[in-house]
Amino acid sequence: MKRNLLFFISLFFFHVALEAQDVPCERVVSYQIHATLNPDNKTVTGTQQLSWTNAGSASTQELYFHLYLNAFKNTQSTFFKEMVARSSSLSDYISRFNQGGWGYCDVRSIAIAGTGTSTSLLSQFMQPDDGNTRDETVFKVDLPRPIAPGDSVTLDIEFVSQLPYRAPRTGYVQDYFFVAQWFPKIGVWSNDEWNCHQFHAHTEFFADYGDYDVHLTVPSDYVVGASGVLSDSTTNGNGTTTYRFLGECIHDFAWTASPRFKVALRTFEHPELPNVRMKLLYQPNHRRFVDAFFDATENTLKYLGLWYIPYPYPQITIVDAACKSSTAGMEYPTLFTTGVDLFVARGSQEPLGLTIHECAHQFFYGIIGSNEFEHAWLDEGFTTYATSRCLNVAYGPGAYSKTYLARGDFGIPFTFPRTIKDQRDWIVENHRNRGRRDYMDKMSWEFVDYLAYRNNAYEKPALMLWTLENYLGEAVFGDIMKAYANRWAFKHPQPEDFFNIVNDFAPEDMSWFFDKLMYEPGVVDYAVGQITSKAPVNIQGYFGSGENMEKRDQDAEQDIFESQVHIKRLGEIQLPVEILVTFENGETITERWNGVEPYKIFYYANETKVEMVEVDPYHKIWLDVNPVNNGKYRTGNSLPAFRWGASWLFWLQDLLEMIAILS
Amino acid sequence: MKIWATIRHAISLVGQHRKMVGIIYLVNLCIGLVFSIPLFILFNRHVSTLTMRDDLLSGLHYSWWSSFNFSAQGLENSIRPSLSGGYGPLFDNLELLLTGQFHSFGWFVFFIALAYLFIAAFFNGGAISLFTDERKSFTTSRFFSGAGANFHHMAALATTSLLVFALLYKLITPLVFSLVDNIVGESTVQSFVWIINLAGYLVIFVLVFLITLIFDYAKVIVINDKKESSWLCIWLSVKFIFSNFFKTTGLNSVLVLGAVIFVIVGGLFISLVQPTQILLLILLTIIQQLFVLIKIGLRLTFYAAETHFFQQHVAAKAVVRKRKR
Repeated sequence: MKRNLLFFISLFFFHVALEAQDVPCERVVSYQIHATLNPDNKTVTGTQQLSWTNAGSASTQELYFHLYLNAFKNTQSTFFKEMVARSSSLSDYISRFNQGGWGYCDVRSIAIAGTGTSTSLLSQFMQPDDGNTRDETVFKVDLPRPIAPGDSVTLDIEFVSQLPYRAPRTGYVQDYFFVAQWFPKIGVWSNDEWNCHQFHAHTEFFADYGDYDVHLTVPSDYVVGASGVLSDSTTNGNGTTTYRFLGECIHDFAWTASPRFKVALRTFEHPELPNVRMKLLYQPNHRRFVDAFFDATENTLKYLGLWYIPYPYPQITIVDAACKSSTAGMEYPTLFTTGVDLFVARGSQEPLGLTIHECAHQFFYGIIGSNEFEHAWLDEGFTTYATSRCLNVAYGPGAYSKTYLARGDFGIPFTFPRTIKDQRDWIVENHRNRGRRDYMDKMSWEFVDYLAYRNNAYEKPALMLWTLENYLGEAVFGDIMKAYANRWAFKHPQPEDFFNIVNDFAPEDMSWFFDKLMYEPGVVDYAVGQITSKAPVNIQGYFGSGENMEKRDQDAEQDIFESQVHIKRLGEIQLPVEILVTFENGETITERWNGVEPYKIFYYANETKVEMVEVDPYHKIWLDVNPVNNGKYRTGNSLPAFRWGASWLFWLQDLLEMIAILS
Repeated sequence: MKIWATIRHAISLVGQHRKMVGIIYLVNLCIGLVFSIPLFILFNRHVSTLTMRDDLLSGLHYSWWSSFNFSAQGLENSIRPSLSGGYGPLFDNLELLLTGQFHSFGWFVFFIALAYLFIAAFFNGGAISLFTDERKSFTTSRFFSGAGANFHHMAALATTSLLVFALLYKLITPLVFSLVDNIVGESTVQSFVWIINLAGYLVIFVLVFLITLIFDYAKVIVINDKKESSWLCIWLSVKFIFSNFFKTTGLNSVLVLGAVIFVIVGGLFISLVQPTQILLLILLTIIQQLFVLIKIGLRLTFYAAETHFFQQHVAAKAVVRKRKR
């Protein structure tokens, strides 16, 4: 009781301190939702009034809606069919849903506002992506009259959402409810047609900006977090409380409720950025991670705010998801989920990495509303890039850690501080393994498999941005990112919009760069091949002309060494590269190669031998999947091999001795 | 029986037969070298000219490892970041003991280990036969003749032990963890999930402890009592252990505790040396080899203590019988 009282007092002050920030955007939608959570039968019963404005240039007499929860309605949904084809975890989901419940969103009525729910509109399920007639994640409503550009329509909708058990990104486990993709959500009227894709195995979301006024009724002992800010709360007397949340200029609304949540509040302050109140809902046994959650969020708001665009909303809600919920690591406007194991290795960057990534989505997804169905890389790739950049600046490189006896949520983590990991190493590693699968410019559900989707949505674009930053220089690229963020805030950019901004700022037309990376599968890999340096042994015959002609004997120029340096292109994608050749006397030569041919040989005559050759010596090309072969000495040194050979020998000896115990 | 006195006696026995420790260590080292020299050559080819070779002296460069591992085959697959620390190799091996995933570093390593199991069984026969006859001093011929004479028993026991451990890892472990999963259910309380899983591993640890204890005493009985059937000795061992449960398990618990402390201290020493120069590298290698040598001595101390305890027990029983007469 005391705990609840403190919580409400803190919420009150939190609310009082709230300053209305004017978030500028074109409001296409306006939702007023009243929803009630029934924890016993895991349902949310709701009514919503939706006002939609035709922001296009043509009239429409039909409206398209998402019913994302129907992805979990039966095994015939497109989500399930794609999981059959692409994943082995399908049986896990089926047994989960059979155990704890399937999910769906049932629209009970839909009518033009003011005409009464009895005059229901005709609706039917649509399958614009794959024609799977059993998929019910998109439905269409026919209106009695067309809506002209600039006109609005208001609909009254009643729905019941059955929350699935431990579904991806949504659902419930025990008394933890994460309610996302839960209400009938209108699609985007774009280019005079409806952009309203079905729910696929690996796709995310796309919607228009607008205002949300949501009343959530939950049992009074539940702690609630939601998109937007808490406006007020009313105790109903029947053991429930209604919370009203207002979200301005957002394109989705998600919320969570659980009696187990603990709440922590802090304010992000920076002299150059607006204050943001941070509300953390954390699991009871994660108290020691509270600082880390806040610190990661603050660093994201700070660096991405300074680099790209200030976070414009007054509040951000951080949800530390319950274990086994499948909801950790997801972003919704002004709210994101993160998570952490019970124990983390010292020096490892959990929960920082995940928290920064999901918070960074507030910028690339939340503020810049790209279409996640069609161009997942515009949010995931940019976010992965921004995450690694923020982690590098705020925390530096991390150390490798291994979890021993790992089993589900159990494991004993251990850090190996001598194995340093740059934040980008794992991105390069994944791209190396998956880089040749498919190419970037595809609808998210059209990739050949999940790994191809991951590579082309996350890793390749992140490395592409790092490479582009190094190619153009930090200052120019900083201007590009800032311009992109500001120009496309609260809008729906396409890849070409980013390319155009790059070309506006870059000293050259960078189309060649994007053409190679967007539309061609393959990887970048340059390597140093053979290095030879030897004294010329075959200087004989006549040299010079006229009076200067002289006959030379063998070994006349013993002091000059002829060197050859072979540079190889092992990857399919061609990028210009720099080559740094260092001679034994310290002299260096920098070469530039267009990187087109399969190999290139450089010849030198110098007083000393070549000591070392490096392709891309300043590591500008993060797309290079094997940076290890980029640098080579002419002569060998066996000490590192001896060091690791000795460690390996020690491990094997210890293993043999341990096996002897079993004899 | 006094545990400390038994352990002290066992340590002095092993000290008395220290040449035996050296012989087993040399065999262990030679087998290790047979495989590590080709790996060294291969490794040298990969890294000796790399510009990041200097980084590889102080630690395992993750970027290098991940690209090396991408195309690694055979033994190369067992090169991993956890080798970079003092504890990594030791923890990796302890994990194998609890999970039974002995093939996780490749089947080649698995078969080397399997072969070594029987080599160790051969030496066990020699060691225990020396410990059972404390009056005589160490000679290499006595050690090897004891090993040869008892090899059939030791091999039979090692084979049986393998089957029992296979049963443990393939049948009992899944059962234990299925029970763990049932208890955990859909709990979202991480600490509960963690503790129940840890309890599952503790059960496995206790079972490993008991199985090794049973087979250790079976070895001691078959040699000390000159029994014909080694399998019968397993039964006799079980009877002996459970009729002296607290003493036998107490003795081995203290020995295991000693081994754990040794691993922690040894791992720390190995971790402290950062071999950026040739001299430090030599120092690290010496510490690592000393660790292995002492660990072999420690394993033999288990046998010495168990043998001494068994003999004392038999002698005490004989005295009681005489008095009754």
